[in-house]
Amino acid sequence: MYHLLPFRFKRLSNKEILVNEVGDFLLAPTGTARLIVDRAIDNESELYKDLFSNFFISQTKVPYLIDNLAARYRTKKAFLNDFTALHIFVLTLRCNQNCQYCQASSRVCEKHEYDMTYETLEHSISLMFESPSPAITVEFQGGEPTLVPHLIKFAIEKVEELNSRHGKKITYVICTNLINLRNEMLDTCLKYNVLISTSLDGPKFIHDTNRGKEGSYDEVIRGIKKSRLALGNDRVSALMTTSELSLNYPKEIVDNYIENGFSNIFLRALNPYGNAKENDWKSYYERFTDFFEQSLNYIIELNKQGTFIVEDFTSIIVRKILTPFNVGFVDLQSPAGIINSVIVYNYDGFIYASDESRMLAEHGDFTFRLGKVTDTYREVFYGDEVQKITKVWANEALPGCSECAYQTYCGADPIRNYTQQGDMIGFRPTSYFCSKNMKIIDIIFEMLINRKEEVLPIFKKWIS
Amino acid sequence: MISFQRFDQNSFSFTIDPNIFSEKVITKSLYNYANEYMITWEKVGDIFSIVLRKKDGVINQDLLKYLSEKINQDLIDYKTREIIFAETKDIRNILLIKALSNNEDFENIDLLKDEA
Ligand code: SF4
Repeated sequence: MYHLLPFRFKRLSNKEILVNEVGDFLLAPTGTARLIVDRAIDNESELYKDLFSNFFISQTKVPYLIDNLAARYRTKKAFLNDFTALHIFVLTLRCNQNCQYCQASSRVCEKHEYDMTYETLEHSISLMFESPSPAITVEFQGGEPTLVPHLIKFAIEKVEELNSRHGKKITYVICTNLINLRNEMLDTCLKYNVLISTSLDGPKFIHDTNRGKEGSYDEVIRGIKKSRLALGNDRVSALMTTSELSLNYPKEIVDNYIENGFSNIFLRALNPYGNAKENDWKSYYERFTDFFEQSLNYIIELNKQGTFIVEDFTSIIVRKILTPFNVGFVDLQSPAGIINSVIVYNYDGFIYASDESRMLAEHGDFTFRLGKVTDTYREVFYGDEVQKITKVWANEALPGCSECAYQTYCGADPIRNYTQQGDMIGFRPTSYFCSKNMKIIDIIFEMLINRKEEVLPIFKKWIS
Repeated sequence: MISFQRFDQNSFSFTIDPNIFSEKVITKSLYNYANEYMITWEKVGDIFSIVLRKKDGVINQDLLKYLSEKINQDLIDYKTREIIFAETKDIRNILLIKALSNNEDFENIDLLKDEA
């Protein structure tokens, strides 16, 4: 007679997926969970040995190797150890593009009242240095941050100066559309090893339509080439956002990334923020998961033919499924990535739980405003607002998620719940966050069940 | 197997003995239907009587058959989950304390000593 250890299960493709508390999975015949609970697993069987060695059952009430299991759990949650590592500085709301789905609620180029002041920037940097994290990413966002190069330069120099005392490992990222990339900016990037993160939505007709500007694609491609030349290929990355138009062109978008010299692509859905609020989100998300599946199948086909190209979201999920490591991706964390991993200093001196929550504020909703840059670290990071969020930021304790087999691969997103459904707990049956993640993890597991020989070597290459 | 009875063209009902499926199991099983169906629930004597009314459209024979099979399966699955949860609650707590506590004292407690 054996004892049970915590695990969850779901049915898919005529199999049962069993997932234990640290994310290890077993694929078993349908009905296995019930047999386990009924103590009907033959202790001479292979299944019994698998269940035992993978911490689904134990011969003693407390498994002999509980410390190993606890260490595995600690590793999975290691992102909590150091607290906030990603510090986003929204230096200006001004932008030189007119993106259809703008999630940053940008303002026209001339309005300088939407720029951060030096004083606000200094306060923000001082707060940032109070974070216990030994490694910090300083990310400059907008609007378009290269419209305020003097602020980027000032911030970096200030961080360098203060860091001579703190000794943290600092990484700089500029999120830019590359339209306004001057040589002086590139010099700063080169000097301080700054990473460039840009947006590329695929072929010219898609990119230009999404940006609302003819010629935008050509300028981005020119900017990518210029920055690669100055900084090196590995210092320039791109993100795509899947607009309504993009949904019809999965292959063309992947091909465009390859043509432009990228070996990875992140198939990102629109978030229900910003000017895109009027979309019919339900139909969008249904179409997005179809788009995702078609693109992923195409990417796997390309890999089989010898072209190395990684789909980043799949790679994150696969790493969570196949490895014991902590995967630092803020959108799929529990407790949530907000505050624990990311914080946003807005141009106006207020601090937000995430990029999305300051976008909510741009639409008049200040629910996730945590304080001001002049507040103390304690007031901001342990204040009342944060306390409210902490009650609902673990999917282990959310309705629907608490019993979901994908809990360890997924995350909690109180802000998304609030934006879409009006409360931070959310309602899983109509949650787009849930339906998208559930469907994508289903797609990946279906591949692992039905096409293991074909996809596993590719997935392993992606995560090695 | 719970048997379903059609109420009218967009609703059906069924009864459940809480000795077989607890209130918690029933609630969790029906959670995923709460978007498309209005769920009403009352206790008649010792038995739960539950009605699901489709918010939009009718329930044809195929849909009723599908729902009947699905809800029955969900009840069994959530009952299985309830048993797993009840039997593993303590070990999960021990695991979390050991994993997340900074106090090394927890790591050295011999949790197996009672079983020797
Ligand atoms: S959001 Fe959905 S997929 Fe993710 S853990 Fe919760 S129920 Fe599962």
